[in-house]
Amino acid sequence: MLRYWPALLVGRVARTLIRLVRKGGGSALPGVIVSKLAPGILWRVLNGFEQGLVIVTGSAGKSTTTKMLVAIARDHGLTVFTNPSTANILQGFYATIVEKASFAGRIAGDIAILEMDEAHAEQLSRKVAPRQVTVLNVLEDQLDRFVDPALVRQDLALVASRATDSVILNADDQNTIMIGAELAGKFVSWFGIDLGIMNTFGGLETAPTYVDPLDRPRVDSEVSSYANLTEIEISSEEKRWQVNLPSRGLHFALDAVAAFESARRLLGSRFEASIATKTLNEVPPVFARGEMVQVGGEDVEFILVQNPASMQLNLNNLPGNPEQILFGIGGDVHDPSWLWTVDYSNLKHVDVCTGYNAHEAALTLLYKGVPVSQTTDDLEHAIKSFFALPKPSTGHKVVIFSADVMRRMRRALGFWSPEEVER
Amino acid sequence: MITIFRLFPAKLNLNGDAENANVLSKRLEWAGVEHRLVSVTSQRELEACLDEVEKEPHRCVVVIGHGSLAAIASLTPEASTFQTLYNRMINLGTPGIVVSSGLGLVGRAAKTFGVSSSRAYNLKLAIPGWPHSAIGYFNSQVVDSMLSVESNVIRTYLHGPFLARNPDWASELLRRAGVELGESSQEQAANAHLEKIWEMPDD
Repeated sequence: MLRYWPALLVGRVARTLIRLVRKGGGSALPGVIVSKLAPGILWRVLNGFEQGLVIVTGSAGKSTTTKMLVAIARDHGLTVFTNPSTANILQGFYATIVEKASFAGRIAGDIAILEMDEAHAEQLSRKVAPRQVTVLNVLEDQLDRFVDPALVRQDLALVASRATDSVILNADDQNTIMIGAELAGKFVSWFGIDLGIMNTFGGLETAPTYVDPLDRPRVDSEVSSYANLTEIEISSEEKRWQVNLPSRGLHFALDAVAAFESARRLLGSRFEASIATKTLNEVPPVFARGEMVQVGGEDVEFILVQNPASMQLNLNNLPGNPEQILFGIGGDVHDPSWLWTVDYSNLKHVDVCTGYNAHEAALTLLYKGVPVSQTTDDLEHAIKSFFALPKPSTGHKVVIFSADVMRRMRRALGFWSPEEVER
Repeated sequence: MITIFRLFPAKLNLNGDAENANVLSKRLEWAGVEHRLVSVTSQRELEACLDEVEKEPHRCVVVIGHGSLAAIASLTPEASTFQTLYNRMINLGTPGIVVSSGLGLVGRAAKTFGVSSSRAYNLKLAIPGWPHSAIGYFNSQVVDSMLSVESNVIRTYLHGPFLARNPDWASELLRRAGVELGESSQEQAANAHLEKIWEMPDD
């Protein structure tokens, strides 16, 4: 079917031109063009994988879990098509197709494993039935878009109900247990974290359901020990495997066990736990999820925050009391009200507060009693000020930012490759 | 002494709405005004709040935030006490603020029609005795006003910490509870941020 080639050609020319004028970018326009000229190409591409489509969705952890699952599948010999983490909505899929598809509207690979935004997963799965769906959690996230967690749960339940093979769910989120209860006749398997660990480390901030809790299902793969913020043990089929997480925090442990169980179901008899755990041990951090980078010869930790839960979990896991902190909240945080729902007691000070919502963030921190040395919505000025600070006497500089500030800062610091900018 | 009641803050803080109580408390703390900040978390405590309003109607401020569908449903057993409390506040002139789905709890829900997330920029108002403008965020369209006042109670669909973004409204609410705030250094710092926030464009 060659009818898609004109749209792809136009999209590629647009992409090339944009990259000529915008170093390191990064634009939704080529995908938008192709989605208008040839909307059907998305369904053609996603229906074209011999081993089908796997969706990883939920409020938080999609990028890390997908990256882990893709790596495990590849290490088992599969050729996998996947998407960059910022391209998890329909326009983003079109942008990825512009980059990867042949003029016949095909992408090489045995299988597609994609992370998907909750609402867009519901739209997409109407047209392309996924073979397998992993639902990680439901948080109080992006309420300016979703309004209420119950509506997110409804969308995710629809996505799960469309899986033709299996559904993998979180046994420690009452929302996903409710989704599982509605999946009569589907093959459902469960991942989770040992209750003792959850109680010790304070849980994972899932959206409360305010009804009598449903029983925890029997778990197929579980995090059975957790130490030093990165060392975990995964138990499955009465065996145990050690894994070192790529980033600190219990939420990454959940991502790892979700990827492990998803791979186990996906690969069936071909699955080898030793390969999976070796892969998990070698997965580098997803960009800005506790990633350490070098700027001006010193270590800087990048921490991406996208919702109250990720802000809270990352603040809870801050190592000690970092000497130097930049706090950046960009225009991607459409409604910064949620900043007020976070407990900032672990954030002792901020050196530079910046981003489009710098003053909303600074106002929040003022009322929460967190001293802020400098506030500016001029990101370039903020970056210069922060990186002009002398190297900390202990530890390293820490940057806590939303996705918009992350992308702008990466470009400003010279991280030019599209992968680095987009992730 | 003035008492600020925040009702069921664990359930009615979906967008930081219960934080309005903390904003009032901070303003009083910055001004050196002695006060109590009381979290109401049960039917018994809700009834105690009602008693306090009956006894000291002009020395109480009641903050009712906004909760998820599930949170509001879970408060059904307390709904009649919420409504009694609200009606007494209206009749007695007790100051307070009720946000979005909290209005449903007190029997004052407006008709909404669909999701429309936006920033309300410099909303113009003509409510006698109250400030004439406000800013804030909303995520549903309502048939009546985004912001109205009944007796001494602010009713708003502008969610989150409305009183932090609109300090004149907070000052007016506290004035109606008998407190005149002087300007503290912290308030000056807050106002510097607010100048920038109020300059931000509508979207």
